[in-house]
Amino acid sequence: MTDAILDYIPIAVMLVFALIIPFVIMFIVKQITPRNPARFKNTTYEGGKDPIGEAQVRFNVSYYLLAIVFVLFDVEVLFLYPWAVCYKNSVVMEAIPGFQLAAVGAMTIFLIIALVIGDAYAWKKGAFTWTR
Amino acid sequence: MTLGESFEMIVFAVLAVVLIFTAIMVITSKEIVHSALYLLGAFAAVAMLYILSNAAFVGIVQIFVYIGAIGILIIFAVMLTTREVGG
Amino acid sequence: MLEEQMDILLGILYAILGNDYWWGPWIRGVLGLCAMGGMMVAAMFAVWLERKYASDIQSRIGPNRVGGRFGLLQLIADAIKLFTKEDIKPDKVDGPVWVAAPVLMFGSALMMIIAIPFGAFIFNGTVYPLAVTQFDISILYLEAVSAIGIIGIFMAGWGSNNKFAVIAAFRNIARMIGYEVALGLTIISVVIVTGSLNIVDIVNAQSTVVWFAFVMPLGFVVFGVALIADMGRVPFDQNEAEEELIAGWGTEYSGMRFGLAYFAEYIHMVLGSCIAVLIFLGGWNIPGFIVDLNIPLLGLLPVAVFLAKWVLVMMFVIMIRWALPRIRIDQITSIGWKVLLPLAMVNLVWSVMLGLVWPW
Repeated sequence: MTDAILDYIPIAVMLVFALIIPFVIMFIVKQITPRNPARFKNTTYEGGKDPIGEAQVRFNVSYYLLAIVFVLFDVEVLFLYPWAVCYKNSVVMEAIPGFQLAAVGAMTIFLIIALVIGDAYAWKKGAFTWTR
Repeated sequence: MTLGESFEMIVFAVLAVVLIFTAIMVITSKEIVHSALYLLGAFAAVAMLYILSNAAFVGIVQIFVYIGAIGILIIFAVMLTTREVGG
Repeated sequence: MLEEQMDILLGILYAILGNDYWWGPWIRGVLGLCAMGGMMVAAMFAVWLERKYASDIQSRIGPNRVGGRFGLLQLIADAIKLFTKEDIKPDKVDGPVWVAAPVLMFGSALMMIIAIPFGAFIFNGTVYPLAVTQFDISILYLEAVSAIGIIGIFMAGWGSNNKFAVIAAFRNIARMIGYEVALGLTIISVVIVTGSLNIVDIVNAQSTVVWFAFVMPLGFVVFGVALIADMGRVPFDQNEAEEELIAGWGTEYSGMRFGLAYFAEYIHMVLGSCIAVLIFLGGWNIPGFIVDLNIPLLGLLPVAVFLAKWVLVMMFVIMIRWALPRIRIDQITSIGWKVLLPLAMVNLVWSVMLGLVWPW
């Protein structure tokens, strides 16, 4: 087993427990709470009336537009993480002359094309405007 | 085989079983939203496999992008479809 | 003399906690479970703080009248009530999804604990953070794990098969994805300045010069607003906009099942303010003053400083909730995408320029 994996053992231990604890709590609660199912108690809440139709219906397309813009920006932000760690790394800078200037320049071009123009385009297309 | 290696094998086996199970459930679920949620489970198992194979950054990015972003996209896309009960 | 004792003590601690032995990581795992328990206590403290503020600011009947000294008994009454209420499962819910949703929310909130250093000991210039585990990409891990919570909210809303719950879940997702980009961009600007994704390195970078809240105030404001929105607190909450959505995605949950999700939200709030302290408010550092364990009796000072800042940030977040009205969902999305995102980009440019000269 390699060393880097060892850092993730505590995470694995906690993941197992974080998933078990809610079930344990619910099991204990099940033993001590009353159970009186009744027909009207178990209906879906809709302001006291009988529920009309289904709730799991089709949804507005504007949510989808928001999600697709979100995926775009999320991935762009993610590209910044490795860049941020190495753009002023002294080892890389000594090995490659002019690395820092090139790195900042490349990222500037990427950000202008992807973030600024992308944001402006989505804005102009009305993806951020709430439709009713 | 050392203790660590056998432990790694056990974790890999568990993750592989989870991955295969969720992947099969994705294509056999009757409800399309359940398929989407099982797909997210498969993504999570893949992320843990990446971490197990010492690619922690890729693993975390898998959680970040696939569960956090692509998952939302898939769910919203599913919500655009018509839903027929028992279909 | 003291130095020798400290060396021995740290040696023992390292033998227990270090990765040199096969059982080291397992002990860290057990410590993580202890931190989990501690976090539940902290979340209960946050609940009490919230109720106290609510009753004091809006003169609601609560811990300001009942519950003995400081209204602490109110907390116990709340806990007993949550534990003994009937767990009603409506007929039309989508069983597995409905059951799994609070588990996912609770689990993902608890998983954030592991990467957070809750203070540190500083000895001979070396920082020993009180974190369960340290790894190189801890800040990315925190963002990724907190993003899983969105799926839990969707599952709760959709699985309830209730119109209010579904609408609330969808609005919640729209809110979270709107602010997560701005949040990510401000966090990345801190990473650009420090050049490390490790949260301990980010705190240490603030010990030499000043806090990041001072060098990039714009980033701090954007981060603060986005964080409050990301935690789902008023004024950005669509979780339980009582006036329009009954109880949001929690409409069909009752008893302890609701309690789990409610607890997860408070854990999220507690850890969110913790992250704000760590990456923008200097963590356990005091400006212009480096605490070293060589100075007697000051060993626990960094931990105390960290806790004090943490509680202050939490109090501020809670005060905002009871002072401001809720804003509408269309305003929430437009603030996120049209105001915070451009400001975060401006801050990003500033942080790149800052990063080239840091540390000056």
